[in-house]
This record gives sequence, C-alpha cells and structure tokens, in this order.
Amino acid sequence: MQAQERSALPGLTTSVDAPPWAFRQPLVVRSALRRWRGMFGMVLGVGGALGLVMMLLFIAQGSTWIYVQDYVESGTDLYVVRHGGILIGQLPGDSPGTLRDARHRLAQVRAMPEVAAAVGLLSWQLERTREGPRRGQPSEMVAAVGIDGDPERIPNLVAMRAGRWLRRADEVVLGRKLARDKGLEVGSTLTLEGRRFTVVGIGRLRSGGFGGDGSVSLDYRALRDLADSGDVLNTLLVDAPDPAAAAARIVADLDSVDTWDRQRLIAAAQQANSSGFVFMGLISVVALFIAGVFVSSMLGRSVAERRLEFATLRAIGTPNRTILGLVLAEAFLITGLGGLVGAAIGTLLSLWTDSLYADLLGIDSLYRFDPALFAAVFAIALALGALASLLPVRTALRVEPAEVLREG
Amino acid sequence: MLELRDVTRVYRLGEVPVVALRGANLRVEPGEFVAVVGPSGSGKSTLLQILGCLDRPTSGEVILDGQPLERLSDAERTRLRLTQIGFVFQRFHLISTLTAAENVAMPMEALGVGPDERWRRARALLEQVGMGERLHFAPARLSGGQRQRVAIARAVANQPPVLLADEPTGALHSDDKAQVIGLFRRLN
Repeated sequence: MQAQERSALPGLTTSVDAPPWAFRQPLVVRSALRRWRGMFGMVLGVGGALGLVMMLLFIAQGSTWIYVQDYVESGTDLYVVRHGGILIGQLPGDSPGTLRDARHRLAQVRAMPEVAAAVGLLSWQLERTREGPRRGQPSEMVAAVGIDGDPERIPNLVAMRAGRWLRRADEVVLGRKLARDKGLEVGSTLTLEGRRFTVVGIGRLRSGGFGGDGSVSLDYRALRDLADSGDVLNTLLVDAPDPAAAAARIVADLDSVDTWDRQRLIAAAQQANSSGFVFMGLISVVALFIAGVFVSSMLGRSVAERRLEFATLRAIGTPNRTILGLVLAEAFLITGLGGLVGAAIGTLLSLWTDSLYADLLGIDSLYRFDPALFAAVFAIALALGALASLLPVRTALRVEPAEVLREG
Repeated sequence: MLELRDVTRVYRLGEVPVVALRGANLRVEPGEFVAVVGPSGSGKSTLLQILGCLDRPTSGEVILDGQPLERLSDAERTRLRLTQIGFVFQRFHLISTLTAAENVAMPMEALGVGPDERWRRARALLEQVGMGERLHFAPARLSGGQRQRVAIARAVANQPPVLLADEPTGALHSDDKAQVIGLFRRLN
C-alpha cells in the first residue's frame, strides 16, 4: 500500500497555535516526567541510602575535625615532646611522654631567637575534695592541666566561653563539659587535693582536641605543689614565625626531643581515624550496593513492562539513542531526585548526630555546610544511576520489534 | 516500487522448523492499494514485517525502489522505517504516557523536526483524521476507533511512500471499521 506523498494529506494549513510546554520537551524528558508516580518509591529508597551515606561522610569528617580543629585554629606552630612521644595516640600506650628538667628546657626554648612565645603543659589527675553538704561523699578524680607561661601570648590558643583566663595560682579555668557536669560556674569554688581555687573562667586551651572541655586548667606551679610531680612537662607549645627553623634549632639544642608541626598532627589525626573511615566506607558501599541493585531491578521491571512500547518505538524507526535516553532519563531522574531527598535526609541525620556528639563530648557543633559533601552525594547518585541502568538499557536495546509485536 | 522475490521465512520453535512464508512473490506499484487476505496463521503478518524491514527473510529478496534491503545494516533499516515506511497495527500501539498530538509527532521528532513544525503538522494530521478536538487526550481516554485514527496519523506523519497496515480494523467495532477503511481510501 502506498500513500500519496504530501498531496494525500491536503489541508495542512490549519491555524498554528504555539505548542504546549510539554510538547516542546524532548521525548525522553516528557516520558520520564510523566512516569514520576511509578518512581516515587525508588526515589525514597535511593534517598534513604544516600542520606545514610551522607551522614557517614559527615561523621567521618566530623570525627577527624574533632582532632584537627585545635591544630588548624590555634596559632601554635610547634609541639615539642620527649623523643618518641606521640601526640595523637593510635595504640593504648601512646602518649607524649615526659620532658624532664622541664623548666630549664622551656627557658631555653623561650630564649631562642626563632621563637616568639612558648608555653609548657603538664597533664595530671587531681582529687577533688567535696565541700559543704556533700563533704561526706566520696572524692572524685579530675583531669587537670598545669600551664607554665602565658597562653594568651600565642594567638588563638585560649578559647574562652565565659569569664577570663587565670592570672593567679589560686585561680582555675574549667572546661565547658566539666563545668556543666559538675554544676560549676564562674565565681564557684573548686577544692583540689585540699586546696581551694576560684573558678574565673569557662574555657580551654586549643592544644589537643575535645579532651580540654573535660579538664581544669591551673597554674603549673600550683599543680606541681599539689601533685608533687617534680620538674616535668608533657608538651611545649611554641609560636614561631619560621616553624622549620625553630624546629631545627629546638631539636639541635635540646636533648632527646621531637617536634610536631601542624601538618604532621593533621596527618596523624587522619591516620588515627582511618580505621573508622574504612568501617564507614564499608557501610556506605553496602548501602549503595543495595540501592543500586534495588534501582536496577526496578528499572528492569519497568523495561519489561514497557517492552511493547520499546518495540513500537523501534518499529516506527526511533533510533537506539532515543531508547537509551528513555531508560537513562528515568534512571537519572530517580537517582537525581534521590540525591535531593538524600541530601535532605543526610542533613537532618547529620544535625541529629552532631547534637549527640556535642552533648556527649561537651563541644560546639561540628556541623558545617560543606558544598563538597553535597557535590559528592550528587556525584555518587549519578554514578549509581549510570551503573544501575546498564542491564535495563541492554534489555531495552535488545527488544525485537517483530517478535514482540507478533505476541502483542 | 516495492517487490518481494521468492521470499521464504522459517522460524524455529525449539528444534521444529515452522515455515511462515514459502517462495512469496509480490510487486506493488506506486499508488496501488493492496489487500492481502488469508486465514489466521497463513503468514500475513510475517509478510508485512518483512516488507516493513522489521524482520529478515530466511531466503529471497526484498527490494524497495530498486534497492535490495537485506544488505542494509540495522541502523540503515531503522532509518528506512522512519522515513519510507508507515506502520498501522491491529492493536494501535500508541504510547500510553503521550497525548494524541505527541504520539503523532513522535516520528517527526525522531527525524529531527522542530517543535513548532511538529505541532503544526500533528494538529493538521489529527484534524485530517477527525481527531482535532482531542489533541491533548491520552490514549486511555480514546475509543478503539479514535486510537486507530491517531495511529494512522502517526503512520503518515513523516509522509512515507509506503503505508503498511496489519489487520487495522481487527480490533474495531463495525462503525469504526468503516471509518478507518474510508480513511485509508482517502489517504490513498
């Protein structure tokens, strides 16, 4: 049968209104948009998996940030410890160690021309003596940090929440978590090893992570008196305009010491968290694998249901690239919307986790809006879409129109 | 001119060969209106699928305007179906997620016709087949006869020289059958 060309269809001169918006869209877009109801469950499933992945990425980022935050924000350029001492522990026995003849060494460091300021730190456990109506209750141990020198000479080393930094031997500054847990505030009295101190501030030194929020800072001499520790320090914090030159001088002039600069500390913190990264990475991979299999099987089902549609399209001469586009558009719409839902779920889960962190550790919020995290989630979503559509695309392109139309 | 020369088509049902066409010959001149009749299972649909480049013969030749079709690649056969052949199926096979106008415009879109021109021609074609008032109707909202008229408009959208219809009235009521046959006569 042959239709007359052109003249067979006279009257193609009807009024020409503008086509509706949907008509102007490519077939692949129109088809995908009109099938959104069938995709709803898949979008939620993908969104849930991506939200979980986003929260895990946030936790990985946040748990590293807990360690490195101090080193990034503090103006301390070098941390001096005993030779072999470890500032960021990965094994139970890891510690900065003890610097003997400490006051002399600290004086040596301060006198170096490469050093702008230096502060010594000693960590110890002190017994808190109960007062007032609780006098009879058992005593408790409190983590204490003795500070030799004026930490306010090192930029951004002191992080105060309330009050001021200590100036006298009978004053202390409490970490925020310690103050909250013990119900103490500026102006309270704290008795350690039988000696009374006045709380003059709530805050800490940015010298080693979140632990500072749970300890009390006091004058080094006062701590030595109470602890009978002798002339020892754990760490010297150094502000140096040229950290490399200062480190070389310190190692050369002081016996048996090591220096840690900011980069080494950050690398050690990331190393310390690497096992956590691997664990969270594994959970993420499993979640994404399940989401991928879910999307792939649902797309496969969709392609099977649309077999007649693909056969018809192929029969009327629709090129393979359009068939490919129909399946890919659906896959990318599902995973793209899944990415949006995932970003929303991930943000909510991250904020919730963050509030748990903050409550547990007595720290500020670790949550920061991170465009890279959102970009990572969308990149993962699109990669998931591409991978999940491989088999369904293959099936759609292999539809034999003659066979399907004969059956249909 | 469309020609079949000694065309045989054998299917395999497991190990059993089934001969759908045996030594078929046919010659259709431009402007001819040809009806192929025969009992169910006599190979009418197979014949049309071979003529329409949907299937390949086991042996024999199919020639369109002097060009043997069996040498064409899959991509070339797809292009040929888009530009030279229009199909009308017994069960219409309209795309359920598209409107009547979009179904008609689909082959034009595959050919790269712009949206304004597609819209103008789709409207005109649907008016031509008496469906001008149902441009935005989804196939589910149309009767069988209306669907077949949309399918006919789609088949001629790219103005192909060959129009193949496989039992186009087989799924229609008698009133609709007459309308559709009338439409084919008018198109021819």
